[in-house]
Amino acid sequence: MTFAVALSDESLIVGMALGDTDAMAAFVRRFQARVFGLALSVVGDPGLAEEVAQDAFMRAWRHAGDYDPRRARVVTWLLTITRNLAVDAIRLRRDRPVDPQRLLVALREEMDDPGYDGAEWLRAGLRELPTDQARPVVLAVAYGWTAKEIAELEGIPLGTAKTRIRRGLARLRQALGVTDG
Amino acid sequence: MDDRSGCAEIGELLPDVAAGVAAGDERARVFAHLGGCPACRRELAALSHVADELLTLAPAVTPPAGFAASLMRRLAPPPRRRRWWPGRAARVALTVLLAAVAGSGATMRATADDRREAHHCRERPLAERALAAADGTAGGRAFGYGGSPPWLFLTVALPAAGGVYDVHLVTRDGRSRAIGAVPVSAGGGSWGVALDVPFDQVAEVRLAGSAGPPLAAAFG
Ligand SMILES: [Zn+2]
Repeated sequence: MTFAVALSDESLIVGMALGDTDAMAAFVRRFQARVFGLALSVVGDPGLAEEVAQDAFMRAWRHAGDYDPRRARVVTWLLTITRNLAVDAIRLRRDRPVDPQRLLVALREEMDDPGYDGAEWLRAGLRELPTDQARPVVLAVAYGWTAKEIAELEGIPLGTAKTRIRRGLARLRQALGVTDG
Repeated sequence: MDDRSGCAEIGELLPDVAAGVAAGDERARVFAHLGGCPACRRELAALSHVADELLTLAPAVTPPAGFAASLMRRLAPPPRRRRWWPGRAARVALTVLLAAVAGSGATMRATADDRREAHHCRERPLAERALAAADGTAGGRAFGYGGSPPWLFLTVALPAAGGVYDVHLVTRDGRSRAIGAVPVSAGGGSWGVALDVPFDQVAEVRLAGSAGPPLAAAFG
């Protein structure tokens, strides 16, 4: 049997759930740039982003047994963990206000990495989306903000914030329909 | 008519639910409707997928030097290691097997349905049995996993064995069927397969063929 096979993301998770540190090392190598990149995009500070990224991997290591492949891809699961920790980190540090524009710009930017397997259809949709809709969507989805918080930050009525989130996400969902048929 | 107007109203609220900004009473209305409406369930799944994938658009940035090393130093040994777990070689082989199962299109559920089931699996480790010839000679090990999907993993270790063992699965209802073959060379080989019967229905695994004397492992 050859061991040179590239292990699937799921099999690394299985190994981690079984306490296999080799699987964890491979997992970290595979995803560290994605995790650190997202943490940095959200918190904006390299030192804090490194703490967040370390904590995200520790949580993935401890909770690998809870991963459910029917619910999300491995990368989505891991990035959701990272997002939650990043959002917690900036909420604790009131000196670092949330800057949705920074994350929005990052999400819209083309990626050079040939190994990137992200959703380009979604990036295209996000670029076409008017910024006044894209910002509320990013605040709700990526930062976990409520419509009320978004309305306050954006200086718009609550009803307007909800409408923008609703229309924005519905338009991004149309991008999925076009691609996946 | 009622159904269609219901879907239209609920459809308005689905993006709010997917984005996590729906009010409590709206959420309740949506979920009450979803129970009887596959179309709206599919639509919510699509919207949630869009929301989840948004995070994957973040740029990849190489972390500072030493990131992985300091992370690996933080790993505490897991609280309870599984005793059944074989040596490192079989462990790697098993991981490769899982990769093959996942890659073959079979739904490889890495873990249990939920915390409860995951906990249950840790409490009750996988079954391990000796593969033995009729005269009692040890010929390898058989590992059975009762999760979802259930799977079977075999290692053959029998001096002078070489060739192929056909593998038959005997279920509790007494039926036997071929499930594959283990290639053996220089006395060793390993092989695994996802099963389409629950593992607690497995009574016995039998190996027969050119590789060596017939081997069997009884489960149950
Ligand atoms: Zn409906």
